Amino acid sequence: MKIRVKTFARFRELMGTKLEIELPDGSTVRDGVACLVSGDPTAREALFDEQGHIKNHVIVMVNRRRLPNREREAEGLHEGDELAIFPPVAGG
Amino acid sequence: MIRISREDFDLCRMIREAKTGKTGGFVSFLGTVRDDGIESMDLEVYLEVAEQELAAISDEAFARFDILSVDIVHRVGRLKVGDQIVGIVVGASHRRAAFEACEYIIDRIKESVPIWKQEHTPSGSRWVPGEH
Repeated sequence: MKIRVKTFARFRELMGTKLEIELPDGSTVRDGVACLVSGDPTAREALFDEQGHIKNHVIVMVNRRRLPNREREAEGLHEGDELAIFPPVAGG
Repeated sequence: MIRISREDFDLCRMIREAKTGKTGGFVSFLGTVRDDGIESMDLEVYLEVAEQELAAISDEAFARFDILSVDIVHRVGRLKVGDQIVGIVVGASHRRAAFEACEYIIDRIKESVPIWKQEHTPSGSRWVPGEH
């Protein structure tokens, strides 16, 4: 299945923007994020902690809905979903 | 009026346009680019989510405080020192609700609207750390 990916700010510089990734059916948010940083140790270190979990301060949205930290890694992705990943915001 | 804009805005005009016979006062907040040794900054936005989040924050303010109007403009793009970043105007029958709602709105914007600032200095660029 194809997933559209949006990244912003520092993460955009690391991973580019308007990406599309191809994942096996049944993949989760964690699989999607891991796919984005595969082969790039700097990006992997920015997004994952030493235990292999998405870092707490990394914000993940699926279809423009922010996922709570506890549940997000297991959230299922579906064909055509928009996965957005970004660092803490700094507007205002 | 709630919007993300590349153009500058006029806070006085926002107040004029929000006036009604029932409004007893307005509280406004104006955020500007501070000189922290920078030459300019770029504001990057996740547009669709930022617009929906600003609207949600406005709805929250109406639910929590006894206010009559909320207007918010947040700029994106390249700004220089002294430029206006964000303007908030809250109208209410009585001042206390307007003060409280205005503070609530700017605090919520800083915590949840997906906008990032990249500062440009003579020695390079840096992302402003967000709140988390």
